[in-house]
Amino acid sequence: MVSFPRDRRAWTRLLRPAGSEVSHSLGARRANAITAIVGGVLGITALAAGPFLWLRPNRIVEGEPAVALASLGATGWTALALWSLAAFGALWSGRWPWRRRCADSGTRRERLARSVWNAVRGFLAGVSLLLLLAAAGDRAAAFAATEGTIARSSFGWGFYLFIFALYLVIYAAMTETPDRTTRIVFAALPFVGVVALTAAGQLGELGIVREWALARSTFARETGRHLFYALGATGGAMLIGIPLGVLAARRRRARAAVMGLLNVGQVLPVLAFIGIMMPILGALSDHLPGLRSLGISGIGWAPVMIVLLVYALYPITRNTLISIQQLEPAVMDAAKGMGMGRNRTFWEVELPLAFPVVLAGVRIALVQSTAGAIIAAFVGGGGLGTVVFLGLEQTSMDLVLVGVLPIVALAVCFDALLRSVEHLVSRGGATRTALANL
Amino acid sequence: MTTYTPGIRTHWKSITVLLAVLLVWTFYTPGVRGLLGLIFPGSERVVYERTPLWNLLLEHLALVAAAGTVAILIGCAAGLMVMSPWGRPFRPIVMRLANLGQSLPTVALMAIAVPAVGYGSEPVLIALVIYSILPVMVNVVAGIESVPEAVVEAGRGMGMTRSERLLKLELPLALPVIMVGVRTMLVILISAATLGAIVGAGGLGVPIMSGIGAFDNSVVAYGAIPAILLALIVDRAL
Amino acid sequence: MIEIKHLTKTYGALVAVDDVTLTIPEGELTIVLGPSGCGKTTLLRAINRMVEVDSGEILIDSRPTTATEPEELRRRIGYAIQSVGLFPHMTVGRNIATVPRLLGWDKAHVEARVAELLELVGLEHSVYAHKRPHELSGGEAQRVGVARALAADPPILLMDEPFGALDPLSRERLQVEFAALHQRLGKTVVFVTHDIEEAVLLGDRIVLMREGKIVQVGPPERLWQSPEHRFVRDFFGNEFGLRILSRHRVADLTLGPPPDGDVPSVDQETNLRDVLALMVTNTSDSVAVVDRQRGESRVTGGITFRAVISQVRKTA
Repeated sequence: MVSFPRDRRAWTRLLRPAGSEVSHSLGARRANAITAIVGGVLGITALAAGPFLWLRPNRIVEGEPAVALASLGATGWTALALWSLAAFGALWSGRWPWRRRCADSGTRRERLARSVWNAVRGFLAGVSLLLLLAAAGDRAAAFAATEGTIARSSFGWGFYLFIFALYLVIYAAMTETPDRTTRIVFAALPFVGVVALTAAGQLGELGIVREWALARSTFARETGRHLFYALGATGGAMLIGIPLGVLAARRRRARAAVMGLLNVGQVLPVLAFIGIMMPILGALSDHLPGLRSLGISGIGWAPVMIVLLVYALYPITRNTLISIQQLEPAVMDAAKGMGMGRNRTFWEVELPLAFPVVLAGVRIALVQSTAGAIIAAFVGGGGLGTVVFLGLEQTSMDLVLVGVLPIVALAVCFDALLRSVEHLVSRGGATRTALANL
Repeated sequence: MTTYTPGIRTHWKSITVLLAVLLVWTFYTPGVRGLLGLIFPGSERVVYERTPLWNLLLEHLALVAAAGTVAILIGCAAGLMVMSPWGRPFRPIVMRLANLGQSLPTVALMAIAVPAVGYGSEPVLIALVIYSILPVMVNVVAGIESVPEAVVEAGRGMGMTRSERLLKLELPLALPVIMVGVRTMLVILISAATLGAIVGAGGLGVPIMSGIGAFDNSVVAYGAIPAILLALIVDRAL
Repeated sequence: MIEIKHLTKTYGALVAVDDVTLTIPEGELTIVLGPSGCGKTTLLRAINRMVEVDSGEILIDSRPTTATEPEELRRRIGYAIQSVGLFPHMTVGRNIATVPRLLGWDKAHVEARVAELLELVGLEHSVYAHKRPHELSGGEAQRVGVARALAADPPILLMDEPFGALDPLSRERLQVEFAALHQRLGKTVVFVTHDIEEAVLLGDRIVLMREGKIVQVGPPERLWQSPEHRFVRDFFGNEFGLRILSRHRVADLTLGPPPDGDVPSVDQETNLRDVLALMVTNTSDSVAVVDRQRGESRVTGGITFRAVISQVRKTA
């Protein structure tokens, strides 16, 4: 149905668009330079002025702030140096981007030099984060050695601001790197590095890691449940939504009804929707005993799954509908004129062309469901929301983060993964431009 | 379509019905109590007693209005900036940041804001604003892009200044698309504001949360119904 | 009068307008003609500063165009483009009224002017003033576009292939009407086109451009009689003479004696190309000229084939 490239050369060609996604225009380069510089300044402010860690003897006390440059020693300064290089290195990018003469993007060698330098910059930014984290881990360990195991070293706004600044700098560096693989590698570097550091035990005494260690079994269970909700809702929505979308595309009257109904579902406030589902499902399971044995009742996973599924239906159905509607009539005409039957046209022409847009809808639904599954905690359905609420109850920001970060990480991963797949299977420029706008 | 016609013109009948039901539900408590008592015979409290419903409704609307106004201002400003000649190269990064704001779960945003600003409506407002900038901004951009180039060219050739073109040509023609964004934003806000009850803000989420906690479906419905009605009304009216 | 001096405009490596010097006399309809990409549109748009040039200057009535703000300049120059660009959210009347309102005219004055202009472009005021652009046909929309350009009574009118997007019938009709309009109003018109027929039909002078440079300037007859460059001959092609014939009418000739026999008849206003076509259709080498008054036809003379084709040479 959809043919993936068969030989290695075709694969590499797909993974490396010939600089088509990089804008070498002066305006774009200046904007990236400005973004990097803004990020750089914010990062330095964060490190110099903001509390990177709050050293707290226990969960409740506010504790002492630890500013990165002051308390993280030589590593902190090294990180600062690398960071400055990464951020302000944007000023040199093969050619100074400020003079009028640089209106063109330079010779091939200059472009190559710029790409390499940008990749290096991204790398350096990531390394600076890892250095800071390692030093923070040491500091936390030192603190815990004096205060005991109830001590918590929680991240302060200095840390969060630095993360934000890091995002800006890495984004600015990466958009000017034409090589897609390099981009993915360097964007993933901070994550990989953090995981490696945690595995090595370097970050063991940081508040967030301690809380995670304490709640490990709960965390594992609830993460599994959370994935169950996200993937289940999206999967179910695909099973129902894609045929529904095809139906809506084919029949005019169905379209209005289907989209109208889904729109209503979309509009409902999430808490109210779940709230209403509870008595409804409760009543249903009272009257149909078979349901109860499946675990479907007013509380638990059923109301959550249904609500998430209904919300996920909208993007999937809508995208299926649009993807079929947007098929150029000329293409359909040609297929028909060649004598392709209805079925054949569907499987060999319509579906492959419509597939990327449908996939985009699935991506939106999945990210939405991943974030939305946090609600399950409300109705006793589990999921990472439980961890978040636990953290709120125990006034432990670290525990809240233990619940939130995986959700964000999952959402980002799903998004990136599906975008890559979309990129691989989309044929023709028009589809790509359409996707870029979704 | 080049002119914006608010949905209220076409759907005024259904809107009136929904509005009537909402008002009755909010103010005629004995009747609601009786109805809910019938549907949920096992319920202890039937309705939420601690705060009158119209109070909660107003709190909810206040949250939505406050966050909505700020989000519209920021969203329009960001959208216009990104469409202006000097701001154009910043479009990718601004879009990315707005997208980021929307991909974080609202509950998480509220929870994170709590240590910074405490419990109550402040964290909710912050989370709501961050969450709802995206639809407005995206639609401002899409709306201005939808204005035919020939129109802007003709306006420029006639001697309209940049601000005259913006105010007399681009914004009026972009309005239908922008209003779609505003409508989406308001619906999102009404939904997200129900979650505010988690961190101690008021609003219609309060009875829902209370009911869930007490396993009292009647109280849940007492808060859920007006929330649903409100969302439906706003969605149809705009 | 518009004076263009050593105008140059480049886009990166592409030289759109290459050191062009040109004078556009007042009150004439100057056509800027050339193949795609020759720089004619860029030249036009430089006049009302829609594009900013790299070097050179443009003087309008001896004042440089850079002396005022671009918006000020443009409000005193009419600008009509191919895609018209009518404002979809305003009625026809409001569209036309745009520049007068920008200039602060009072309401009564504006309304009177709108009525006057609609009549000028051949649209019934009561029918069209309140219509919306999407209700108009291509020809009607372009008429409104021209009316809108003329609204504030500017001395100069810039037109960029205004009739290019119309079907041939509408195009022809609008061309003829516009020629009459120009006669009536006497404004300085700079008209860009790539259509030779249109150029020859409308232009008092033609500026032929190629790859950013001017090849030749002059009335169509001169370009035909004394082309300064091979490109001129090649561009206009073999039909040039025929096209020029359409610029002349029977009234421009001296009549000979009335011909005998059954010959087709024409009147004073028929253009010579149509006369030729008539001769071909009827296989006749002469036609009778009649004077039509009050329903009666009176033969006043005749013209021969020879006389027709010699006519062009005489007025070069």
